Amino acid sequence: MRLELTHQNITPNTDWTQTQQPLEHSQRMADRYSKNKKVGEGTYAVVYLGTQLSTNRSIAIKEIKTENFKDGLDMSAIREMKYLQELKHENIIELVDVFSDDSNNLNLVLEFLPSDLQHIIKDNTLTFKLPDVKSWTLMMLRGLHHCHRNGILHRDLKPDNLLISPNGNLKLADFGLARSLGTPDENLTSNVVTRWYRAPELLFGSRHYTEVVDLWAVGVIFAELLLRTPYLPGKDDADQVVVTFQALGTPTEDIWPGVSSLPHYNNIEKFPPPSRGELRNRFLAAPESALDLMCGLLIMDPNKRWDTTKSLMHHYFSERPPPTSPELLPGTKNP
Amino acid sequence: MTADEPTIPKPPKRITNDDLYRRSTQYRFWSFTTTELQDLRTASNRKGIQKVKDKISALDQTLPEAQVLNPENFPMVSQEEELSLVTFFARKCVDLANYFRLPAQVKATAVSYLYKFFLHHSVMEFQPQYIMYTCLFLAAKTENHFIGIRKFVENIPKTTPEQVLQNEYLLLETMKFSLAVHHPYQPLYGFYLDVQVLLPKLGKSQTWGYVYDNARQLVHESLFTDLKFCYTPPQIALACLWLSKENTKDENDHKGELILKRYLAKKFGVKKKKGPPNAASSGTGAMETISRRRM
Repeated sequence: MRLELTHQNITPNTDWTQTQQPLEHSQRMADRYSKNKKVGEGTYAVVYLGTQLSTNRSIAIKEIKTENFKDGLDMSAIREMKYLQELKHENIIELVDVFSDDSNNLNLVLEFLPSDLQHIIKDNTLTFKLPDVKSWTLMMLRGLHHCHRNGILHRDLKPDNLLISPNGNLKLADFGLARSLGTPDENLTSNVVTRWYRAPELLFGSRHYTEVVDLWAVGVIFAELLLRTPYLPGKDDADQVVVTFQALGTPTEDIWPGVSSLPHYNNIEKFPPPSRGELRNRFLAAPESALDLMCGLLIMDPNKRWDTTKSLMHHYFSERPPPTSPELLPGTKNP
Repeated sequence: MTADEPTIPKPPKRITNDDLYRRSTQYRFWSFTTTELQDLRTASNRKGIQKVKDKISALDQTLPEAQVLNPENFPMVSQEEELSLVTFFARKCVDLANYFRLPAQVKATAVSYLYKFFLHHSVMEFQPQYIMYTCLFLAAKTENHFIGIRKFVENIPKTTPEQVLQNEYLLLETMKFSLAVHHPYQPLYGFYLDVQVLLPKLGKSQTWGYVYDNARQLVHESLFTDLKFCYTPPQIALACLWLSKENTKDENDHKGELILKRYLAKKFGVKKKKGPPNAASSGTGAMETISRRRM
């Protein structure tokens, strides 16, 4: 289980006293799980490893600290609960149960996922073969496809949020920033997605982005899997703009109509887009089809960027070699 | 299957939007038949009555009040009265949301939370006014239009943060921690656009614009009915379009019905005369319910 939790500024509450009665029903629910070991603590939750007593299944319990929030239940917890309740998929973390305990804390019972893609990328003892990268990318896109067809944007895809199950399945996790696809008249905040994985429309401060912000992140993670090092590691927000366009070229009105009217599109240094040869040199081991997919995911103009359907249908996934079966992937403990 | 038969690979199963809807918590937890709804409300009403009776019996019998209040013939709130009270506060909820300039999605979600809460509890147990505040406060959070608790209570006379927050937990639990609600507004807008595609001349006319606007009003009214528990959002949207008029004051205006018949005929290739085609017939129940509500 990951130890990191979303950090949010909170003001400790002083005046709100709990007046609720404990609920009988909830207490029975609390008896169904044991909290064995505290594995992490963040501002809005404490994470325990535990067991579902009826099945002896390992689970993770995220205990949301309700009483510390002056505005009631924290937004990240609300989002996580709201969206995970609607999403059941092989490649998305399973919300097993929700219950409240004796002290009226909200507990999210999640499936126990011992590893994540970040650990696997950083583990120098592991060697990645091309079918392994194909397998992880495929699982990532499948999970994301299920989010998008349900009208849900993840908005924080990065290797640390892609958890790995004991049998090697990759699962999208941490829905604390997720939201429903906006309607055309709604303003969305562009301050989403961890910096290195932030799509150009977000870098330019767009308020009307769509689900393809997640596909940009998939493209950057795909590149990271091929390179075994972060692809666009900006040191700060300004540097992120430079790093991104140095690698992929600065978008102009010609390739992305309307880009120059986005809020932060000004005094942008103009870098030329990389030639196919330059990309091939950077991603030496990658086959042509992998480069095609990566370029499709990293198209600057969000209206032209590939969606999950187009990406999943790409021949990179159907051509040989086939993706590695999850249980045979590097980092999966096999007998 | 015998061994001789060649094994034909099964075609991959296509997941339809209907399949996705059936996996939503709205379908799994919050879709009922009218009888089921009735039963839930009867049970909550009984629970409320029992609670009042228990309270009366627990009174010190030496007090003069205790002698006046005989639990046996004390008038209790009926199931129908409970529903009227909830609807009254649902309308108040929309007024309050308007004051905070919250969009339709937040209003509709808050109203839906309120009705869900009182499917499982009685107004004799919980003051609907306070539950309504909690519903709106929570809906603003779940629909991404957060209002701080200080600002929220400052704008509601005689309310404290504790009053609003103390029920948040119970509300979540009553709703089985399912917070996502699908409303008819989006499918309605979808039909509005699709008519413009399939019937370009009519779709771009002012008539269609008025019919859409008036249908949106009907969708708004549908929030205060049980339709959300019995039909899917597109069914309700379709029903509202069917009943909508260009001119709401004209008794004989059937513009919505006329346009929708043409649209559905074109969309599903069904003859106009046969009445609502299959795709729409599931919405006819919703239409009838809306019609009855308006009479």
